[in-house]
Amino acid sequence: LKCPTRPEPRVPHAVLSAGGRDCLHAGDTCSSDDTCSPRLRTLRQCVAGDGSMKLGPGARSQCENAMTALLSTPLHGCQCKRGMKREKNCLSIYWSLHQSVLHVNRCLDAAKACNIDETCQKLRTEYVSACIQPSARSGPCNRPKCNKALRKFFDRVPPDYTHELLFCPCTDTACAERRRQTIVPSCSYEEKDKPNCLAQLRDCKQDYVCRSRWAQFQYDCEASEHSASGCKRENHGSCLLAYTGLIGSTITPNYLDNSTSNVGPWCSCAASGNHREQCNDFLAFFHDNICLILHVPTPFQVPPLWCPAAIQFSFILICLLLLH
Amino acid sequence: MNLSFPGQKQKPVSPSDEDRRSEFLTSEEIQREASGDEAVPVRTRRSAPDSQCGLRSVLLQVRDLGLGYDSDETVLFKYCGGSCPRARSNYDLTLSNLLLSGRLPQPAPGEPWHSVPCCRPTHYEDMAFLDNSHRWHKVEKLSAAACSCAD
Repeated sequence: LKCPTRPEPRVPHAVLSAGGRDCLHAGDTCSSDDTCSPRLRTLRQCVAGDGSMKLGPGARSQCENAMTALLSTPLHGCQCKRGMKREKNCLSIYWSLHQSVLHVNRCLDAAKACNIDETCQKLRTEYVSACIQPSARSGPCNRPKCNKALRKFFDRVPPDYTHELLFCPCTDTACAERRRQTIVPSCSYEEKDKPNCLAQLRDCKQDYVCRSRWAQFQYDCEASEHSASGCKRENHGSCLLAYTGLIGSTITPNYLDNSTSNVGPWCSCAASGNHREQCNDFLAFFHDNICLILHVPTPFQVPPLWCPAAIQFSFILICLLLLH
Repeated sequence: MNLSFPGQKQKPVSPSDEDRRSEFLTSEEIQREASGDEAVPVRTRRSAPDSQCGLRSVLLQVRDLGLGYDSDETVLFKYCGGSCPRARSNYDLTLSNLLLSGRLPQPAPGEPWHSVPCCRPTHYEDMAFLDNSHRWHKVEKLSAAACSCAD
């Protein structure tokens, strides 16, 4: 039973639809360019050896500048295909770009990359603008307007950028706080009181869009202890995508603090009556889920598989008919 | 929206990058980094000759904008630069002639009377960023979005 590949998200991104940028190809393009080539050479010198080379202050800033400059080239966000020709060469380029010694604050790097891209910068400014604008009528901000702009951002900007912004790995508080602030939580997330989670979920299901997003999230982030990725659908990227689909909805999730990567919606299980366990299960789906590991994926791009239940059932029916 | 005048042979200039994916800058547009020089001009127009009025951009740290914000984010500041053709209307011709011949009093220094159109933005863009105290800011009309030779 082979599932058809997922239709391309309706994001006008020529590069994504071409199957993603290949680091080898991007590296060749860069090496044959007068301005890009020295940057790449600088970077490779910076990460020479096993990456444990200590960088003096002058060298470090040169390395960081080379890294920032390369953000606006095809090398940014490039990937490698498992088993491809010259896989090792491709990966050496990939890891040069992702050497942790140069990434002091991955979330800041993500913001810089976003600011260079026209669409990302424009839509990020739009949602921030909507979310920080005080509202005469509805208190500190216009929450529906903020949510709408957030949904637009996560729907239209390629995951290359949005996932880096939201799922950047952090080793210190400054980075983690920046990450927590990504969705302007003071407007889109926090409220005076925390509603009961099940009541919040019920409200979500009243709205067709929220209901679908929740269903998609449950599907794509279903955990499985028997799979290597921890995900039943074996597609971590799809789970992250489904998570971002919840942002700007009634059950918007966010990082709960700036020291861990625990996430969850703004709700509590107090006053759950006899449904306490059901309520706890809902919250656990966010913070006890081995599939929902919030960091950006590895060099290998797994093409998303999309098997809507209808197609699975029709295959089963055909099989049954043939057996008869 | 570009300004144009009847009988005007000059084609209004507009940036060709409105539909471009700016994450892929061409080779001439990739930031050129001189040693110790942080802010380097990056051309965003591919086809125009260097000196004509057009949209240009420079990659800068927010704190280098000189607006008093303390943020480590870098932004692409877009501005209008370049020359506009000399006389565009009879007004321009006459004004420059009269200034040259002395029939009009010379303007005070620092208060020039323009007898040529100048390269100015026709549209602006806002810019949002997070500062180092983790507060969000939005700066209105920070960057130029399109340029034209304005009268």
